[in-house]
Amino acid sequence: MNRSLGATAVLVLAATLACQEPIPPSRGGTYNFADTIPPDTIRAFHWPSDRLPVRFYAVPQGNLPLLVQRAVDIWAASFLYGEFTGVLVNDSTRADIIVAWTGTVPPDVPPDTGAAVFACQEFINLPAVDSATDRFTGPFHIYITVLGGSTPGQVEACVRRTMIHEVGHGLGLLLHSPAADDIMNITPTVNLPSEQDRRTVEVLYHTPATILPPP
Amino acid sequence: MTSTQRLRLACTTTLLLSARPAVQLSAQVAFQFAVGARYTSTMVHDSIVTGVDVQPTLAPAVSVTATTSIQHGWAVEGIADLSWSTLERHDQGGPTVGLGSLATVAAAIGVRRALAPSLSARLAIGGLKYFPGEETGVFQGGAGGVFPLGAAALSYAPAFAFAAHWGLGVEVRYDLHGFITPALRSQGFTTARPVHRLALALRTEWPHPARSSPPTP
Repeated sequence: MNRSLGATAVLVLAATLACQEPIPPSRGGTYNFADTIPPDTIRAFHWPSDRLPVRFYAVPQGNLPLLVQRAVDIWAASFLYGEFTGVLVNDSTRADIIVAWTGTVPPDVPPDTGAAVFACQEFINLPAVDSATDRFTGPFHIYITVLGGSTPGQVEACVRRTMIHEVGHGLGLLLHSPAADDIMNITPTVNLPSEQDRRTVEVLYHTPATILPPP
Repeated sequence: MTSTQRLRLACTTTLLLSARPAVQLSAQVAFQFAVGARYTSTMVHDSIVTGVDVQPTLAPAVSVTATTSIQHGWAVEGIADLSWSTLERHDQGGPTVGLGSLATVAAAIGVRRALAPSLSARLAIGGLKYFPGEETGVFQGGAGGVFPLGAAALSYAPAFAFAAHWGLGVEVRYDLHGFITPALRSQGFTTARPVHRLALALRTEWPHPARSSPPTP
């Protein structure tokens, strides 16, 4: 029995030695996320942990709430450590980010699976920054516009990927990626954030911000 | 599956695991019930600009141990253990952020031997499974299955009458497993991280030693 005890002790020791400290993976391969205003002002923004979940309001027209929820979920799933979470709210006055259509509201149809077509246009309107407090002064606004000449399926595919792109700006990815296969490219043609998008937003959320969220 | 459902499943598993030896070993088995607190070391260490650690908070822990009668100074034990806590992320030089609830269920089999009057030790091997409240973050894509576990315990049973009558004792438990999940693998982690758990528990025995022949060292 003493031999058994010794053998078990050796097994436990072996298990300890086998479980060596793992090396964290490299976080190389990112694009610039901070906006630089000459000569030396760097604007880096992300939502701090005490402001989560970020509150999104989507004007209830067409499938806009679903599009926004989908984009928020996709970005939230890009993080390993809960750095970002978002939630849809019903009251626009309590929202951090407000999303609305401009012009035609497209039908809710399955997305076209063919090559990306430039069938929609979106932009984000960032509020002014209070220079005394380095804090945004109001909610972000995202606007989405359907362009003519495309099928409803092509429009749906466009608004899905473009919504992810604009919500990416809302997370704090203020600049565009130079890589064509990143969702944060100026003209997104991919349907989901790439590995480089994921690494970049992860690094952003562990970088000290120079701009604070709205009060 | 919700957090409550996961916890119910964990509790049920613990009870089932603890009940099985009693059926097979009938009167030769004594049960020890323990309640205590558990410290768990860092489960994930990462470096994203600065250091990031993921670690459970101090956790309540309960366990049930089935012990056979002593044979040549040794007893065989089956252990079922449950603990639950909140998982936290600690950013170096930054905030600590809650990441949701986390329950663990461990089952092990081992041997116990008396080291001295009132003092005994156990070595055991088994498996441990995590039940996160939400399948997000490091648990996105699953909890990593059942992790092999090595465990040791040191028990002290005071000799004074009251403690001896009720089979009361104090136990220090240590176990070790390697932790990695599909989400960690997908983001570049290649090897499991050793996770050390240390618990301090009060235990009682059933049947009480005063009412039956003492089955444990």
